[in-house]
Amino acid sequence: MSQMLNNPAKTSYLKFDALAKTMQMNPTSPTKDKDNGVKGLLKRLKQKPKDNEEGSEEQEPLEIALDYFIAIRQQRNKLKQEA
Amino acid sequence: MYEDRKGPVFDLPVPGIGMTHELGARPWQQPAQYTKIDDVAQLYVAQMQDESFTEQALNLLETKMPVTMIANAMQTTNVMNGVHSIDLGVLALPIIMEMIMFIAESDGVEYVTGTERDIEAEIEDSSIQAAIQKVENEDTMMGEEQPMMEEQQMAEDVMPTGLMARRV
Repeated sequence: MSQMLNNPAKTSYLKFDALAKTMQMNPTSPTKDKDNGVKGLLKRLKQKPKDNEEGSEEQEPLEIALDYFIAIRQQRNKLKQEA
Repeated sequence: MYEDRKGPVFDLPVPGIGMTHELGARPWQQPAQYTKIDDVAQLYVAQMQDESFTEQALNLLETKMPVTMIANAMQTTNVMNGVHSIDLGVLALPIIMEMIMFIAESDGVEYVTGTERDIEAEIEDSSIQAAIQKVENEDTMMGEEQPMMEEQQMAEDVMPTGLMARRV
């Protein structure tokens, strides 16, 4: 309880980390692959389908944040593999 | 009013705030500039791709400043400036941290995440929980005892008031 007040970054990061790991274990997650052949992380993130576009479901803010988190993590993992 | 409260009351003004500025004059008292997590995340990702930010962040990381601390500072500053709300800030924190780690790893800088296990804080949390439980137990015990005492007192207080009642 006091952890969230003292260090919100740590608490939220640990929760996102656990969620991301769970999602990696279950590939049926709602997260979409960001690698569309476009170079640049920001460009790829901007290519996310908008809410008003056809075929896209409205996502919860937590899901959207998790999408970004996983996209950046994938980039990190790619970097680690290349090194 | 607040004597029998069980938790902290947050809908009160901070003591002394009336002496600083009128309500609504500060950026954090105005509607936030960004209200969607999508916009906030893109704002941070764009900010962190700037070269000057990268240099500053790497300098800080080299001094072994934890990533959590940098992320907290960035988020709090933007809340203070009215860029986004605290809720969105907390949601964006893991994104900021991950991005900082990505920058550090791509530049080969060693960093401290700040997510290491804090045993002292965990003990503190459990002792707070134990204290709350103890107080709650005491409250329930007191609540059961009080009506009995009140009933006895009521019986003693009731005096016969009729014309034929005996006077003591």
